[in-house]
Amino acid sequence: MALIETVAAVIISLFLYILLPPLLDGIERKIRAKIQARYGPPTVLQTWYDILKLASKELKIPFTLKYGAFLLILAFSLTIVTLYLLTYILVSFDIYILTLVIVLIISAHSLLVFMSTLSSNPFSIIGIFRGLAIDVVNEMGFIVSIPLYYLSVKTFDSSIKSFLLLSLSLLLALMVSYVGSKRLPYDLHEAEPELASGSIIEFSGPMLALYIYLHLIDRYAMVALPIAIGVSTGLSLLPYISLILTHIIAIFVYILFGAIAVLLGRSRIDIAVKTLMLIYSIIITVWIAVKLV
Amino acid sequence: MNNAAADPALFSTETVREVVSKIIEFKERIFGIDQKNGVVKIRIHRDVLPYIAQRLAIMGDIYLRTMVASDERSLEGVYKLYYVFGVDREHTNIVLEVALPQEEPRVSTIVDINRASDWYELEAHDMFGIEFLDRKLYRFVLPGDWPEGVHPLRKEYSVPDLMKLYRPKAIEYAKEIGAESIVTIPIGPYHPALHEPEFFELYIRGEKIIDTRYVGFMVHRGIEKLGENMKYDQVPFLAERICGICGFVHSTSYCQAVENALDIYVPERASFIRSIILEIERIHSHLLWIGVALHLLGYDTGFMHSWRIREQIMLLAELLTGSRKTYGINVVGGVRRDIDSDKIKKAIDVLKHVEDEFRKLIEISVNVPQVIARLRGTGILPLGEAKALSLVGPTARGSGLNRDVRRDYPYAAYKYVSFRVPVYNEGDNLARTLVRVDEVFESINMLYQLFDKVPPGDVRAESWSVEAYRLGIGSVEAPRGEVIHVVVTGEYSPYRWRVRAPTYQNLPAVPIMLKDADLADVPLTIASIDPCFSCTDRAIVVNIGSGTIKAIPMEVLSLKGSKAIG
Repeated sequence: MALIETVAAVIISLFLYILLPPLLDGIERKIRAKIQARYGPPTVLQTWYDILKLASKELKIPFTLKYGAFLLILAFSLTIVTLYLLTYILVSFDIYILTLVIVLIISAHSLLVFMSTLSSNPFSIIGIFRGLAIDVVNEMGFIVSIPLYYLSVKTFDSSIKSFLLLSLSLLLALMVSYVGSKRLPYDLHEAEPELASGSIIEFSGPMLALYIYLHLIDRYAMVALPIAIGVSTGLSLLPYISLILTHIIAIFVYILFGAIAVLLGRSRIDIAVKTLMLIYSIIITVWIAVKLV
Repeated sequence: MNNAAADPALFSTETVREVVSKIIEFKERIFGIDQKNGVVKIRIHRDVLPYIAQRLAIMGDIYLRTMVASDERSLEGVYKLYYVFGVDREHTNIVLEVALPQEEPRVSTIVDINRASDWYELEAHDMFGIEFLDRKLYRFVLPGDWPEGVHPLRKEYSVPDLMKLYRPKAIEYAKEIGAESIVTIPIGPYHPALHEPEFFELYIRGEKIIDTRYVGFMVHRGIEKLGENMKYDQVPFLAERICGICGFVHSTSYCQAVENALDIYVPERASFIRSIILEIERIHSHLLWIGVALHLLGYDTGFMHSWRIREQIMLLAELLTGSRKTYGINVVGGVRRDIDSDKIKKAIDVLKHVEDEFRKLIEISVNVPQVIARLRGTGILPLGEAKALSLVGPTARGSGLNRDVRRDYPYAAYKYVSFRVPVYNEGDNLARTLVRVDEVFESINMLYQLFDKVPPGDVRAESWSVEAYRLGIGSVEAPRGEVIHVVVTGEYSPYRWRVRAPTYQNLPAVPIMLKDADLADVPLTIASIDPCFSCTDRAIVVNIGSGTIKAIPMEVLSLKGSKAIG
């Protein structure tokens, strides 16, 4: 019975990972509209409708980007595998699988960056190099935050020190997750008023639909990863309860991120990189100092 | 020069007396000096123009407000140039009138003396064929394929003639570039940031701006020419369509120019109504701009709320004039529509609400870290440059140049209200933003006073008569800065109607602001002068190696990608 429940939970979780992100984006858009005193999209399913509409359009790929479509599909495939592994670590946590998840997420990001560099459009080139600058800093933070967070959860013993370590590492993980979601103030790669959609300026129709879908899934996965680690290693729950709990917390955090973004403006690339490097360095240094005390 | 005119003591203001005493050495080349309604007109020989301009330049507080070229061959056999200089602190305009013989319409440039004259000279060259010596002249306002030798503001060309003479060669051009399969030629903004047509050529290294070139006048609507074929009271409706945001300043400015030329008395009540509508227009324009600026900084929540607050002002405008925009109530000699006490009461309620909401919006917006970080220290324009280019409006006041037509050349009902002119010395985007923020509060305060003091009486002059060939100047402090209209009256229509909007004066400052700026700050810095543009859709490739510049339409870029650049 437990096995059936677990298999069912894994399948449901995988479906949630795949189907939820556009819906959550629809909810985020509605909340954003409410804060901005406007009506917003007619329904929370609007992002899904947008993706389906774009997917049904004629496929037009600029000459220089024609091989980029393969990279996009490859990035999408890697992300689907990542989602499966994200579900799997809640059923049976394994540090090697966690490592693989990190590698897959970074690989998918790298493929997207590589794809945009194929464009000859100057806005795209500027946008992608901006995105790359943020990614270099953030993914270093990502690579460091996950082990720190994992260690903090694993060694948590209700002492003030371990509470402090857990808080710092969770803060770092959530920050990395927020920056990785490319919300304001870090949406510099597409910064509409400056770069006219920047790195995605040459995407249209099905290619744009796939990119948006992939981006939303990645955004949700980046939020769910630290929560999945915390739930699977910190709490001893039945697998299907872990899965449900992870999604509930992830949905809450995702929407919270969306509400935070509405209150912020857009940064500038030099300010953003310096700020992130400073904050990440401070958190990591303080974490190490607390650990050594 | 006659003896009476040569006596500096006869002139009303100290600066004018000083000007007359400084140019007295050229008295053989000065044909007369007239003084009327705050305008001192000095008729000079073209040979002494640079020398007199030099004398004015070294006097410091005199700036070039506008320059008007006029085809007066049918009257005196000459073209005329009217250089309008302003003396802010003395509410006086000094007009240098230069006649150029029709057989040889040439005069020395003054661009090396007064940088603000650059565009005026180029425009006069295009529109009238006037030659300015010792400078590079190139096609500026007219399109590249405009027929040679056709100067459209010369009187021999009527509007129908010009329409026959020139048709944009869009179809031929499309065939030439191999774009037959394309149904439409896109006409739209080059840059999506401002949702308005403009073309800035940015030379960048990494994300740093090395240099900037502005290419403008993509669409010339020929409004001045159209106005010369309309009756006096028809022109305000055309003038109001010059700008979709602050059209009322243009109709007011035009009416004031005609009233100035013909000594028409405007009833006080009409002056109050004009001031009320002008201030309402300023509030809506500044709220619009603040919203756009916040959007450019990525703070869309501020953008939405700014425009939400603005909506109340639009409804207020509709209540008072019958229209949200393009009010259409100005006529020469007054206004067409009165306001009653019920409307005044409602208006005051709206203003109180707007004031509270706007205060909250600003308190929140300036505390958003990204907003303040990207406004402060970016797009710097030094005071010296602002003076040299004769800048106007919030752009000038953000650089410490204390200039405001409402105070310096009082018009409408501004002399009856007290107000502060916000000035900031930093010269950055933050300073220009704060000038506009403060001006919203000042305008609301002014409106309370104006509503309180509206006098009873008529709202338009009962009748007025035309005397041809008189010069009139009307200027208004628009939300973007000083608008100035110059009219030479004709029998039934303006003989010459010259419009100078503030963007014309302020745009040359943008490349200075952009020097060494980050690419990310470009949209906001361009927007910080609150510009108005016409349309363009071209991309330009600059080959530094060969020194060539070629324009590439967007459709070619989209078809051929980087191969189009070659």
